[in-house]
Amino acid sequence: MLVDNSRENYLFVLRSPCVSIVAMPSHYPERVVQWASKRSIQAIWSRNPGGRALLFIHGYGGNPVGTWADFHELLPTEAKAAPCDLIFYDYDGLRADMTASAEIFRQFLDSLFGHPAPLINTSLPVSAARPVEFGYQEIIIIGHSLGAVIARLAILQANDAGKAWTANLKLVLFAPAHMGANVVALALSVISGLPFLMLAAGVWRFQSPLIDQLTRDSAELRTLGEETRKVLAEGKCHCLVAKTVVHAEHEKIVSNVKFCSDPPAIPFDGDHFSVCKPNLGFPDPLNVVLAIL
Amino acid sequence: MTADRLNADSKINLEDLTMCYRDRGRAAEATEIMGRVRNATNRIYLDRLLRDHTARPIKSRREIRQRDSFDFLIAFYGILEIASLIRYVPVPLPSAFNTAFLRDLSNSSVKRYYEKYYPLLLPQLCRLRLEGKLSIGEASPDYRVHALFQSFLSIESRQRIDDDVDLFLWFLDDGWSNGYSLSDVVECLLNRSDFLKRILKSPQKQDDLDSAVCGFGKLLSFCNDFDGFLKRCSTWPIFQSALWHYYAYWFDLVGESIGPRLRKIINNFYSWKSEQSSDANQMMREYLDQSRDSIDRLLSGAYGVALRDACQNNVADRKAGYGATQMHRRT
Repeated sequence: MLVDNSRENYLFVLRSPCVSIVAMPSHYPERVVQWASKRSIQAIWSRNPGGRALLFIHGYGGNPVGTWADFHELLPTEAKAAPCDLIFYDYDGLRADMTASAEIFRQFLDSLFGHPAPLINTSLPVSAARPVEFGYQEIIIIGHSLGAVIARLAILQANDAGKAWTANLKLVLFAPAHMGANVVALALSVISGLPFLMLAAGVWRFQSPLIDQLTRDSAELRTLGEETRKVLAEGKCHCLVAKTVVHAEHEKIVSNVKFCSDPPAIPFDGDHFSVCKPNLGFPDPLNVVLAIL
Repeated sequence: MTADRLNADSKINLEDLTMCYRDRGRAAEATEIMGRVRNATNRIYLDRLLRDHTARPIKSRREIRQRDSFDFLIAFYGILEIASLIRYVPVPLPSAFNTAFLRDLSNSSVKRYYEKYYPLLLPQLCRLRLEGKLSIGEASPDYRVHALFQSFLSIESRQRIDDDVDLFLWFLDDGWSNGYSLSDVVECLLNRSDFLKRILKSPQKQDDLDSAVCGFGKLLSFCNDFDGFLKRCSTWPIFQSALWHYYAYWFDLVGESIGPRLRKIINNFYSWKSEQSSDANQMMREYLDQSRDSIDRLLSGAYGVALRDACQNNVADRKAGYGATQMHRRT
């Protein structure tokens, strides 16, 4: 046996008070699910679904699951999360236009709130198929960095289109980029797979519309703020007010200035990347999400 | 939780794994070929398709694609064996599954492929288990090890879709593409500016060298992650060992033929020191040290011992027909 750090035993001891002893995990393994042509998600479906989904959307240059590690392992150990589907949304967070990404995300939300059973059942064995009438009563969007902006834009678009399902959404945001971000250096570490390149100076001009769109006071972010204020002033779309906002104490990428009517942010020890990554020594991100359930 | 519910869950797990890793995705074409293999013409075709590439090279696109598909089909049986070790699926398997799977693994062309040409331990063990000649398993599997197995499936499903890593491994294995080879990657990694220029190209402008350079970084990242994951599985040594065996052919190949070159490439990064801030240098040093440790552990073969020992003990206990199946050191 090589190196025993007993993480799993530790996990068991830590979580045993709230985990019923089950022989099988509460969820099926992670899988890629294609929801439209050339568009996919990573999904961890509940074995006993309760009509609720946690929908994670990563940030600039992020990875659908990697951005949120170890949510995908820790949530299935929590009794409160057992009936929730865990969906890790994927999009081109490196080079795609922000508004177009939001339109695509809105389409995805539309399909989830429509009749999701056929989509889910394409990735489950027949014996575990959901009934055709299965639907989501609530979807909690958990956004990181740029993901927070995409989510807000998608909700505004849905509101314009008169989509009733916006009433069934909640927002939890980690290090949101809705007040601006400097993302140039991030591209280097993302593309190369080498994390230390994050510290490389931004003399290298990476070609991406997001760099300008996420600059503090960009036209896109100004419009986002104005539209949000307007919709909230009309008494519509309360989900645009985040349930929880988390800021990183050592943030160097996004601006931590408060956005519209959001509640005061909860500061977590950590930086832009670690703030949304729970682990056994840092369960705070997990607890923030569990508190919403 | 009742025994009935447990059985139902493990049966669903079996159906789920079969659907995800055998009947759909990249193994589907091989599964379909195996379904047609009963007539003589198809048997001859399969024999030719699953040949040793050193005897006659594989050149046609169709053959490359179909052999890839067989690699994924055989990988499915590796996954199934790991699932059986921890009773994530019913043990023994329901007879309909057992018969169908044994037909795949007993086919002479397929068997030669995973036993002789490209030896892998897990599919061999899976066949023995399906034949009722092997019964090893973790002594006390529970939901924690099942959760870890599911995490392994997450790692595997992400790993198997990366073209950049594929290309870098191809270069490491003395391959070349569009005029580039490993020496070009090495040269690129000696120069920080060149490296950054290459990785910042848009996908439309990327050539094979750019892709292989990115593949190198991703490979380091995978080794770090996988080694860390194996450490977390240490409470279940046979399971831990089986996970390592899943990638053992690859680790063995790297270790035997290219390990020193891989280390040299890692060392090249230190030439960047003068061009970076001290913070970047410190972060780079920590990351590379960790990568070297992980690669050394993965290539040492130490992780593989527990499963091999368990097999040999099990076979010795049974004293039955295991001699026909070689226990390759490679695996």
